[in-house]
Amino acid sequence: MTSEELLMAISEVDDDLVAELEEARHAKVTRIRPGFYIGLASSMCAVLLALIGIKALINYRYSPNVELQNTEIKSVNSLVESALTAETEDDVTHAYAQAGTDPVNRPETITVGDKRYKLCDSSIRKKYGLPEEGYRVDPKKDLGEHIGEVTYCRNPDIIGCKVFARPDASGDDPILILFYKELHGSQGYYEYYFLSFDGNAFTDDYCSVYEGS
Amino acid sequence: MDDGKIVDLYLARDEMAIKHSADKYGRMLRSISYRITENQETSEECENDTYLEAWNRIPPNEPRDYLSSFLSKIIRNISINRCIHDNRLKRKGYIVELSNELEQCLESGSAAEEGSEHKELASAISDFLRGQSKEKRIIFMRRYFDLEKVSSIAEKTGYSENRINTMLFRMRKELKDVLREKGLT
Repeated sequence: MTSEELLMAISEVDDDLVAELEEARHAKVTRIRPGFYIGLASSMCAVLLALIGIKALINYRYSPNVELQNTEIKSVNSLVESALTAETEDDVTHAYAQAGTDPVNRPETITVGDKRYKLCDSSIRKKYGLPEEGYRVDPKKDLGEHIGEVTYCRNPDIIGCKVFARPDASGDDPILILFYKELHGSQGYYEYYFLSFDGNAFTDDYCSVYEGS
Repeated sequence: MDDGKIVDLYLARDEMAIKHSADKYGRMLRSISYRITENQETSEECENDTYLEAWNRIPPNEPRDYLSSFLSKIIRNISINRCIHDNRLKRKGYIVELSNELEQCLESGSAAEEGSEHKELASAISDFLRGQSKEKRIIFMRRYFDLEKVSSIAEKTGYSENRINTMLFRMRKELKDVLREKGLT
């Protein structure tokens, strides 16, 4: 037998096989090339990577670290003001922590409740017999009867003070800020006491806490 | 017209049988022939020869239910013969190429009788193809019945040419074992 005879013999295969071939001739090609799958998978990977990248960018943009960096570039005074106008102790603590400023030397202006104060000059301090700027206060000696309110706080060791007064016509109501410090090893612990003065006595106390090194 | 009626016309020796065959299957037959010969004029000649051959074979054959494949087989053989014997056709080389492929199904120095019954051989090939998956079966038939190029089969199936070649190689090897077992090579 020759290969040509074999080729011719294939013509005699059963009719159902020929019919199946005829059907296949008219059938649409539905198979997709492997290259299509590879391209599709590559495209999906690219989209996935892009989504991951965008998500990472969004996370970075709005991450707490970035917010902190953004906050740090604000003016220190406005940060301190926001600390002093904060409603809760936690808010004040957070604001001061962000400011990272020297608690003894700042702020120059403060807001307590709805009242805004500026660092007052020595004449007002003298008028009301308040301690000098940055003076190391002896609560019992310098604050007299009001020491009871101050010593309510955890640490009465005052390391300094600042006196503020309202700059408007009714500016006769100075307030006193006292700075406390407690050392735990190398870490410092600060407490502030804001005492408002109505002209005769300290009527309110206001406490906030700052922790930092 | 229904295939059965066309066959009845052949049996009644009515020449309208050829007209109805041409109307219904002429295009398909020319297409098969053209795939093999790649020559329009030759494919038309093969088509006419096919009707003549069908006229001669009916009766005794009565392909009422398989007239389409009956005519397909006739035109395939006529077209291959034309390619082999007509030196004007460039397809001779392609037929030789296909024959060489099929030679792998035969034992070298085959002692089988020349002129072994084609029908017996075709029956063995049919049994072998039924043992294959439909996909492989159709690929084999495309290649060795329709004489389609590997690149064309690859395009139609979505497989690479290498894969088609590998599938065909394995099937030829299996067919060789089948034919050897049946003493047909």
